[in-house]
Amino acid sequence: MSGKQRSQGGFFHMGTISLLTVFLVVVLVVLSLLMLSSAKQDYDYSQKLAQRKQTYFAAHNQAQQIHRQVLDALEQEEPDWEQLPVTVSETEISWQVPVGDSQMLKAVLTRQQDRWVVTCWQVE
Amino acid sequence: MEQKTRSHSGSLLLELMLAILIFALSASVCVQVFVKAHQMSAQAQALSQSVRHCSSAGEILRQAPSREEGLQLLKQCYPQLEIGPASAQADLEGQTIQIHWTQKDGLVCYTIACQDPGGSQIYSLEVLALEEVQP
Repeated sequence: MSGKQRSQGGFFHMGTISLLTVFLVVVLVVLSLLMLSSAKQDYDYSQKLAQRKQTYFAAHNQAQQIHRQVLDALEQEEPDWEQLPVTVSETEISWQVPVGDSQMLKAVLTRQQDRWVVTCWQVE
Repeated sequence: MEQKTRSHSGSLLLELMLAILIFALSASVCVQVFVKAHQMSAQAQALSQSVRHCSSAGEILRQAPSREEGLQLLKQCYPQLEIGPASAQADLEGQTIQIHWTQKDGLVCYTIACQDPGGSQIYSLEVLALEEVQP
């Protein structure tokens, strides 16, 4: 049987239609996988961001509770600073709260005349 | 000659049918993947939007000198905010933001939540603020 006869007579030979189908299927699969991978990355990033905000606000809430305790202690005549997780000096009261694994939220109250004012509240 | 032409058109027809079958099968699988990707994308967008709204509201409320001023500042940012005695609510870009507050040990505890139009919660945040900051 010659080459011409084989290409015309075989049942599963690779004709134009088969080649076109294979091309279309490959394009469809590649596009759908790219789209899925992109959407998954977007979703993971959004969740990471949401988790990060939760962690930040949890640290902030903890620092705010300490702030409240410090303000209550300052109203007392002889505050017991050892019960609070703060560092106290003549003009400054500071405390730190962990934000996740690698950062700290630092808060500082500074004495200005007769008042205590928040002079630092930042993540370092 | 006629028999040869008939055999050729028969094989072409079979090849065409197989191609259509394979294409239909792969297209049905790929359409499902496309739909899944679209859903994930929409969820990611909704979550990002909710996180943005909740954290903006949280930052405004926690830095305000008092609860009333915080809510008024929030109303300037979100004019559609309806403020009640213990909660506030606003419809934003297809989502609903709800803020509830309680007072405890000299602190105001705000619970800020974003819901989708179906009523299911997308994201929520709890923020503590001092009841009143000294001027």
